Amino acid sequence: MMSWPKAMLKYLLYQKPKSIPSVYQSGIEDKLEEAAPQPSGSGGKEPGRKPEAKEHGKPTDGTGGKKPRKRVARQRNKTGSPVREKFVGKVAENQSIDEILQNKVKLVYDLEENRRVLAKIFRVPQNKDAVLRSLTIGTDPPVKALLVFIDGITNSQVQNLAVLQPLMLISGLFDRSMDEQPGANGGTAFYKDLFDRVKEALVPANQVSTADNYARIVDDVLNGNSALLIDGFNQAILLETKGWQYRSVGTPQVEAVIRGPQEGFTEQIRVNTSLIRKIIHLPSLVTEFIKVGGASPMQCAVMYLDDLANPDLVHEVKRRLESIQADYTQVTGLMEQLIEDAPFALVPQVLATERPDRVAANLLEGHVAIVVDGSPFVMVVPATFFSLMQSPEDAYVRWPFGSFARLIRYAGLFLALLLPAHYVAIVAYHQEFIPTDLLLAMTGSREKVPFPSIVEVLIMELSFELIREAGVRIPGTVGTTLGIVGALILGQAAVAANIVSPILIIVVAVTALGSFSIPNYTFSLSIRVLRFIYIFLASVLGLLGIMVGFFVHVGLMVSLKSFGVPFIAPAAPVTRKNQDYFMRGAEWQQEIRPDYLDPLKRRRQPRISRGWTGPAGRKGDSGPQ
Amino acid sequence: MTQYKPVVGVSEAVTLLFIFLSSKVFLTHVVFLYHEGLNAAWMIPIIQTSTGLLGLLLLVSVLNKFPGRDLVEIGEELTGPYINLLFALYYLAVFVFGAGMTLRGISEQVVAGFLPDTPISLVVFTFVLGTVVVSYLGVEAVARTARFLLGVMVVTAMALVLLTIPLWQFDAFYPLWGGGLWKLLAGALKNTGDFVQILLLGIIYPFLPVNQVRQIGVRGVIVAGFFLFLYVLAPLLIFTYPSATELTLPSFEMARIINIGRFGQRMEVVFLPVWVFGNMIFLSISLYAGAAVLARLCRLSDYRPFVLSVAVFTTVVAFVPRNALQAAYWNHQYLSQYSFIILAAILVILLLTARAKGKGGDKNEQGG
Repeated sequence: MMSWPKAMLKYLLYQKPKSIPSVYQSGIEDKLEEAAPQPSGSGGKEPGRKPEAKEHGKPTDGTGGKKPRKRVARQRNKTGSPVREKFVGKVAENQSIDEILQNKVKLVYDLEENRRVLAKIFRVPQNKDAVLRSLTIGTDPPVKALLVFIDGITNSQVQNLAVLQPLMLISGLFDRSMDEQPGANGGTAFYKDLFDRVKEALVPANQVSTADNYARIVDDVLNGNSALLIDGFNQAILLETKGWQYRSVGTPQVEAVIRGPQEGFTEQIRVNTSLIRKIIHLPSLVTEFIKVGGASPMQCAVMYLDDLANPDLVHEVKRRLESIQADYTQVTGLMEQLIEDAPFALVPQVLATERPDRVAANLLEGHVAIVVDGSPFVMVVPATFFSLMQSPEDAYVRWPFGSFARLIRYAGLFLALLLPAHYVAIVAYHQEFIPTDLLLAMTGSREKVPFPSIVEVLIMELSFELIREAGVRIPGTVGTTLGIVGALILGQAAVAANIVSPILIIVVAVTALGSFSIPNYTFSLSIRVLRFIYIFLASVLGLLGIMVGFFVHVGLMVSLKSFGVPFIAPAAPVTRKNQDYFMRGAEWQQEIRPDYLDPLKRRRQPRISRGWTGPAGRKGDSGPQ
Repeated sequence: MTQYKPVVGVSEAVTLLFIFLSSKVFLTHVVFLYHEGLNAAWMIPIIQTSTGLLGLLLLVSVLNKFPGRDLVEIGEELTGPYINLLFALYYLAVFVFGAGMTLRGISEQVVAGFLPDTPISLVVFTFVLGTVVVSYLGVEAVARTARFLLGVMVVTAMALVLLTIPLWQFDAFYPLWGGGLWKLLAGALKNTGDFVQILLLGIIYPFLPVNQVRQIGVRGVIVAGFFLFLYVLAPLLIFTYPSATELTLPSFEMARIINIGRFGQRMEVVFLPVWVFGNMIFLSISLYAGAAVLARLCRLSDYRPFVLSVAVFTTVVAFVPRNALQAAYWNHQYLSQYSFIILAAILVILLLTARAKGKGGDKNEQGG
């Protein structure tokens, strides 16, 4: 019964705060610095120094301030020594594994030694994903073997039926049926040796290859294959057993069209390449695989038409991909940033699309596609301003409507970029431009608004950006709430509160519609950001500010290049163009490929592509009824 | 940025040249032609275009003797560093003085017409900042920017003229020869300097397509002549002589009186792009060309260190005149009147020296 006063005292009286115990505490450099003596010299503790400085927790090196400490910390960070020193054993082990992989150390004949090394590389037994399955091949005499794979990314059905079962159960039967005189090292007259026999006859997997070093085995195993090591052989058989879960082919989420294929890419690279190949039935369509990245190499497919794409362009794409050394590049958005020409430019310099038909159309023009494993977007390079403003729909409807859609889209781009800025400029500086009746209406509506035009525009634009960003992040179940909140902020409530004028609601709404009409998401993002720069320029210098800003903007755009192609081509510089860059021409007029790509074949279709309009065609028409 | 040799295509080069030659029509310049040609001043640009073409052919004949080299390098080889220094300083003066007067003119126009409460220093600074960025990016960027904006500019410039058609008074043509043929000829020959900017071709010659320089020059001069003609003629037809001589900014006045119904009045803001972009391209070219001349003089391969210094120099020159009218008057007095004769003299000297020294190949240019 006396415990409750004690419990109360616990809260009333001072108690030394207890830190939550954790083995790991971040900031090891700082802790070491506090604990360890300062290095000698300018940063070191002088022997004759008075202790009061230490009592106050101030630096005792006499140099004062944080500068020396920062310098020391920086020096340590460079070497990374405190952490590495603490875990020196683990670091050494990791280094030895890295050396095995980097130096492509060869397999040995002893299976146990191979198992030991592979277990070390895959961190077995801690790592439960990696499986090192021992088995005995049922030949006469039986041979020990080891199957290495990663659980979860392999197809166990294939493994059981096409690898383990034949090796363990059927290999003996096969052995007896084959004949005859046993050859050297378990081989027969038919096969060089047992290894050859296993590879050729005992594993009915569809793709089999061999490896003689650990690095190759690790690489394949991490990609879902299985490695079979046999005792007495310094080679491994790599078996195609990939089988992980992936999203099936669905409809495109971002680039929807009404008349056109409804297939979108998935996260599976092989599915994506097949979706493209399904459209282009040409033997010249080449798919080259490149490992990209340093710490976690990523499978990347470079696709191009060998008889069409400029070899220099293909070489440049491969050169850039092969040179990348980065930890995580599994998304096109990340890889894009590592291969683009001008990383500081706001506009995207690659065309990311989730539509196989769009990639196919671009490949047939002479572009190069980069498919990244794990990303449902495929990059097409080079990209130009005009390609970013195109939608596949333009080609799938009759050309007048395609051209009209493009005009609307360019108008949308103009409005999204410059309409709010023009509103600010005209309201603040160029009222004379507004016809009197409209001016009176605008002035009347702005009468109760206490803010200058720039403030009300910024309030509304930022609110809109907030709603848009929240709309992307919001969970689906509460998504409808956002619409209500958004309508309240951007609607009558803002006007009723005299925060903004009604005409600004129209301006912001039209701006939003304009930005949604931009078909490329990344390009749309850049327009969102640039809009604020133009608003600022308009608030400072009116239309002059907008025009000077636009002049500089154009200057920077025309200086940009995407894989050697000017970003504004074929408008600036002017190159020979077909009927599909600004407006969409008729399909039978699409005779030449873009000149700026310098394709190996320039002509896309003959001058008379509708053969039936010629004399021969007419003749044909009069043929069988 | 410019690790490789820039390339300026035919279309971009023609655009660059004609804008460089004709952007002056948007400032006070054309008013001086009314004083010379009276109501027949519209004939002066036609005669000027002819003299401009002659000068151009002279320039191209010098340049084609030394493929891949610009006028400063050619001058150095033919006349040596000391005489060529004088020539190069003349080129520099043409670019910097022209840019300075234009900068002052367009800034004053913007302040007077659109931003009456804004200090002119801020407007000048804005123009300089914008043009420095683009000229720093190089001749390719300037040329491509000009080409990209060409559509907007041509449409706006033509609209400005076409929308005034209801106001044209064709009686203004008469008497057809104005003050007489000789007065017209004298007036035109006195103002041949309006085409001194063909000098630009001499500076950007190494970046132009081989064998097409003459074609570029001829096209550029003819298009520029057309716009000069149009913008001298239109104010004459609208305001008639002598009222047209009292205008300060004829193109601005044209924009002000456009009336397309109740909703379409006070349209001058609509035509702001043509004034701003036209003159900014002129300024960017001038800054680049000035920096390129200095770089050649100092035998540097990169022009960029000089862009800012030429910009500062231009700004200083822009503020020397007391007001916009004095800037326009100086521009007319020192650049439009006699500068072309000096350029022609330099070109003749270079040509004769080349002949005398037996230097330079005889390049037979196709086309044009």
